[in-house]
Amino acid sequence: MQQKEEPVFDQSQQVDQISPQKKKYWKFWLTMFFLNLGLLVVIYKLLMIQVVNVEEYHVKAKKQHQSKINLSAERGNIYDRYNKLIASNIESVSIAVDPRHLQNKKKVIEIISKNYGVPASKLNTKITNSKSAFVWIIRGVDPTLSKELEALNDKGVILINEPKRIYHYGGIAAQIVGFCDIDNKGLSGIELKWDTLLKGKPGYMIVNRDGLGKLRQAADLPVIPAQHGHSIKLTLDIELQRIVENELRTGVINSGAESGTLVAIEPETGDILAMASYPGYDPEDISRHSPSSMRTRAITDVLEPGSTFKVITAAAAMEEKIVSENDIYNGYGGTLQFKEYTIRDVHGYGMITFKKAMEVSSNVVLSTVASKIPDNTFYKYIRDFGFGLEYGIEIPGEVSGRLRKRDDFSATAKRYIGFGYGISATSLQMANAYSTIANGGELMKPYLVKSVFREDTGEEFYSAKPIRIRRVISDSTAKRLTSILESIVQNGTGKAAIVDGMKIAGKTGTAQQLVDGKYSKSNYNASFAGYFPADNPKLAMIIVIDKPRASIYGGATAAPIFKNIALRWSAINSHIYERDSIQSDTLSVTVKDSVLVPQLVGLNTKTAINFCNAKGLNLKIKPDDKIIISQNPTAFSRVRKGTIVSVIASLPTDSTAGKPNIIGLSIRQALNVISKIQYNPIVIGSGIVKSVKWNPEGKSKSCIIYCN
Amino acid sequence: MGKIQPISLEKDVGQLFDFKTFAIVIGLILIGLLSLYSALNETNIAAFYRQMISAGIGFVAMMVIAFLPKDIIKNSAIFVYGASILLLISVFIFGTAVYGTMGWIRIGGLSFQPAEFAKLGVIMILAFQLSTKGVDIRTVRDFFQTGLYVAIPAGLIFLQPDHGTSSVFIILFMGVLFWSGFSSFILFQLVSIPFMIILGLKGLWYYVGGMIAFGGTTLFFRNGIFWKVGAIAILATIGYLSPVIYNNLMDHQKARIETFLNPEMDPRGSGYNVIQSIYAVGSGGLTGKGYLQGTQTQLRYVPMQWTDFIFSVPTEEFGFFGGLAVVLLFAGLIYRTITIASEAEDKFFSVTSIGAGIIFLYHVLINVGMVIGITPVMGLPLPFLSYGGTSLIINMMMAGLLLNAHRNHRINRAM
Repeated sequence: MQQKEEPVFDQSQQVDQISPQKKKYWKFWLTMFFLNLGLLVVIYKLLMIQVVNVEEYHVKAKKQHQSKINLSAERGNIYDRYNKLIASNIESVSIAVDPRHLQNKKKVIEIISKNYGVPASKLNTKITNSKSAFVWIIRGVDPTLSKELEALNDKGVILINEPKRIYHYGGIAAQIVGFCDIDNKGLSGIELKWDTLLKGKPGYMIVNRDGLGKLRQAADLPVIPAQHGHSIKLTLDIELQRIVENELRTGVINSGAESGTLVAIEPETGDILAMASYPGYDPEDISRHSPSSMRTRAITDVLEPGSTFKVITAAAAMEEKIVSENDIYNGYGGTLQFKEYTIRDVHGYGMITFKKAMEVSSNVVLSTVASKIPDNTFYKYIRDFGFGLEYGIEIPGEVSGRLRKRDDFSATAKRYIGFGYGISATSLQMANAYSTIANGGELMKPYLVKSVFREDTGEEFYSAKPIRIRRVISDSTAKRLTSILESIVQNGTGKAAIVDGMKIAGKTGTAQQLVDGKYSKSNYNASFAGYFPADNPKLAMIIVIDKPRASIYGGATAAPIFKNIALRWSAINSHIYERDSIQSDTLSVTVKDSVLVPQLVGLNTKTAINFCNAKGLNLKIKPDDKIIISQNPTAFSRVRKGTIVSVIASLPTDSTAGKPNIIGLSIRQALNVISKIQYNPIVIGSGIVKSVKWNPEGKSKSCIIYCN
Repeated sequence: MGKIQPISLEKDVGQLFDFKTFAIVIGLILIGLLSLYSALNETNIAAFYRQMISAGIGFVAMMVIAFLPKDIIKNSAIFVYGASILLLISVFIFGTAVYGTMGWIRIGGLSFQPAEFAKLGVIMILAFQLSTKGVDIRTVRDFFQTGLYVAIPAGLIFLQPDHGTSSVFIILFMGVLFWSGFSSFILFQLVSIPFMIILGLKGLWYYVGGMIAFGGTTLFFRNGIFWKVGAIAILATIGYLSPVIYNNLMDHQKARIETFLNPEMDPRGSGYNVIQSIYAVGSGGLTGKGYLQGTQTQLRYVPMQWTDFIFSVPTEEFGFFGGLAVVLLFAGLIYRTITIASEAEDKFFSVTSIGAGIIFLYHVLINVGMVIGITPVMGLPLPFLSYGGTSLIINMMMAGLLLNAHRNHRINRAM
C-alpha cells in the first residue's frame, strides 16, 4: 500500500513494507475475535431456548397447535312407564356477540330482531352498554332461523350450537320431571336429583390446529368420547298424569280452592302412576311462575289428614279384633265431652254400627274406637302404614310428616288421631296407606324411577323392582276394609265418587286447617282417598283440595274429581287388563329385549363376531382378517336379540372390491377402514365423513375425505 | 500455513482447489434444500423444485468462476457493477412489488432480484477500486469516490424500499474499510453510533452507561484531543436525539423496532412471526422432532418460513444439533473467507474474500438472530438456505470467487 497523498485520517500505523500477512495479522485476530463472539452469542441463545428452556417452548407450541375440542355429552331422555318420551333434547343455537369486533351492528340487530322477535332497541342497549368481549344475545333458539345471521359472516357474531332440553308434554308432570337451566343443568325434580346420571360425561379430542386455524386430525392424539347421559324411565303413566292434572285443575277451579294435590299409586307394585300439584308451571318458561308452583306438594307439604285417616284406625282396630263391622257404638248425638275437649260430628247419631259410623264418618265413634286400641299397638299400626317416615322418593323435597313419639301416645292424643287430627302426613303417605289396603295389606315402597339405562346400548344401569316393605294387616282385614270403603262410596259420604259399572272404594275427608295454632273455621282441606276397581285394585289415589270455597266437604269437592279420573282412566286403560299377554309380541320393540346394532364397518371380522356375540346378535361369517365394508341392519338401529346381521367383508388387499362406504363414520373409523384397503387418505375438515373422492390411479392410491 | 511444495498445475488439482470451502457450501445447500422441502411439501412444492434448479445454475456459475483466469474476473468488475446499477434503476420501471418492496424484475416465469446481484457488483467494484494502483482509501478523494460506489446501489435499494438489504452495503463498506487500513478511530465512532441510538432509546441510564463505555474507549485512541472531544460530542448528541427522531418515525418502522425490543407485546401483529419461530426452535429441543415431524413447521405456523425463517426448520426438526450444525458450517465458511483474505497476495482477492465473508456473517447473524429473537426483523435471507433463486446463485458466485482466490493464492505460492 503506497501513500501518494498525506492521509487525512491520520493513522498512527506507519509500518511500511512488511509482508501482507504480518500487516494483517492483528486484523485477522480482531476479526476472528468478533466473529467468534457473534457466533457464541447465537449458540448461547440457541442453547437457552432449545435445551435449557425447552419445556416452556414445548408447552407453548403444543398449546398453540393442539386444541382440545369438547365433545359434549347428550343429556339422557326421560320416559314414562310406557316409553313415552317426556324430556329429550333438540339442537338449538345460542347467539352471542363480541361488540368490539361487530362489523355490521345495524344489520345484525335487524336480523335478530326480525327472526326472534326481540325489540331492536333492547338489543342495541345490550350491545352498546356491554364492555365485555362476549355478550349473550339470545339462547336456545331455533337454529333454522339463524341461517341468515350465519350467512352475514360477521366476525363479531358468535353462534354456538347447544342442545336444548325440550319437554314434550309441556307442563304435564313438570313438578316431578323438573327443569334445567340454560346450561342444561338440572334445577328441580328428577332433572336435579338425577342430574349426575342424566348429564353424562363430556369427552374431548385433541386435534392439531395449523397456522391457518384448520383442524387436522392425527391418529396418535387422544380421543376421549363423550359418555352420553343415562336415560330414565319413570313409573309415571304420562297419559294418566295428563288426565289427573286436567281433572285436578278443573276441580280446584270449580271449588274456588287455592291449590290441589293428587297422588295415584299402582297398589300391586308401589309404582307412582301420577302425582300432580295444582297450580303447576311450564318448564319452558319458568320465569313466569312462582316457586310454590314448582313444588311436588304430595311429598313436600304435610297436612292433618282428617277423616281419610279413619280407615287406618279401623284397620288397626279390626286387625286387633277390637272392633268389627256390626259392633254397635254410641254416637252421643254428635257431641262427645271428653275432659275439657269436645268432639263433634257434622250430623248427630245415636247408637250405630261401626260400619255405619264409617259411612257417615263419625268422629265420635272413631275417637271411641281409637281410645280402645292400646297405645303401643295403635302407634305400631300407624308407623307400619308408613306414617312419620320418608319413603326416600327419587325427587328432592320429601318430608316425613309428624307422628307423635311412642311415649307421647296419650289417651287424649289417641282420641284425636283416631279421626285424623294430631298427626300430619304427606299426601303420598296417605295414598300409599290406601294402596296397602287395596293390595291386600302389604305396604309397598312407592317409587318414581323404574330404570336408568344407556340410550345407545339399552344396557341398564339401575332397574327398580317393586319393594315390599312389610305386611301391615291381613288379607282378610284388608278385604273387610275394602267392603266398608265400597259401602262409604255406595251409601255414605262418598256417593259423588260412584262410577257405574265399577266398584269404587274410598273415604272422604274434611279437615280443618291449623292457622296460627288454632283450627280455622273457614280454611279446610277437602279430600278423597280410595282405589278402584275395588275387586282388583289397579289404582289407589288421594285428592286433597286446599281451602275450597264452594263446598268444604271432601265428598262434594274431591270425590267428583276421583270419579272423573276413574272414568277417564278406565277409558284409556281398557287394554291394561290384557297388557301382560299382548306386550311381548305386538307392542313395539322395547328397550329391554332389544339391542342396538353396533357399527361393524371398518372392523375385521374377528372383532365384529366378538361384538355381535357380546350383544346377542347373530353374525355368521368366517373369522379372518377381512374388513367389513357394509352391513345390514345399519349401525345403531334397534333390533331384537338374536337378529341375523349380514355383512360384506373384503380382504384388505382386494382392490377389486367395492370401495367401503365410510360416509357417516367418524374420521377415526374412516381412517381405520382406509388404512386396511391401502389408500392414502387426505382429510379435509373434521367430524363426520360427508363424502369421499377415490383416486385409485397412480403409484399410491389416494382418497380425499370431506368432512363437515 | 506450513511449507508448501511446488506443485504441478495440471496434475495436482487437489492442491489448487479449496475443498473445505466447497464442501461447506455444498453442505449448507443440502441442508437448505432439506429444510425447504420440509417447509414447502404439500403446500408449495413447486417452489422447492425452482430452488433445486437455482442450485443447479448456481453450481455451474460457482465452478466456472472458480476456474476463470483472475484477469477476466478483475476486468469484469466494472461491468458487473454497471449492470447491477442499471438493473437497480430498471427495477423502478419494470419492477414488481412483493410485500410492498419494489425489488423484483419478472421476465416470463422467472423473477430476479437486482439487489442481490448488486451485492456481488459492489464487492467486485470495491475490490477493483482498492486494488487499483495509486488509490489510497485514506485520502479524501478516494474515500468519497469509493463511498459513492457503495452509496449509489445502497441508496437505490433504500428507495425500493428495502432497508435491510441497503444496510448490508453499509456494513460491507465499513468492513472493507477496516480491512483496507482505514482509520479505526473513525470506524469505531461509526460503529458506536447505532449502539448509542439504541441505548438512547432505552432510557437515560442506558444512555449514560453507553456514553461512559464508548466515550471512555474513544479517549484511548492515539488521536488528537480535538478529534476525541469532537467524536464524544457527536456521540452524545446522537444518543440524546435518537428518542426525538424515533417519535417522528413512521408507524410501521416504529412497530419493527418495538417488535424487536419486545416481541411478546403484540403476539398477533408484527411480533407474531418471531414468536412462532421461537416456539418452533424452542420446542425442537436437543435432538429435534425428526425430519418432516416438526409440528410447528408441518402445521405451517411460522409465516414466511421458507424465506426469512428457514433456520427454524432444521432447529425444530433436528433440534439444537441441527441448529449447531448450520451455525458451525457458517462459522467454517467465514473462517475460510478471513483466512483466504489474509493469505491473498492479490489485494483484489483479499477484498472480494473479506467482502463475501462480511456479507455472509452479517446475513447469518441478523437472520439467525431474528429467528431466535436477538436481532430485529430486517428481512435478510439466510445465505444458501432461504428460498430465493437470485440470492442462492449470487451467494454461490461469491463462493466461486473464494475458490478462485484460493486457487490464485496457491498458484502464486507454487510459482
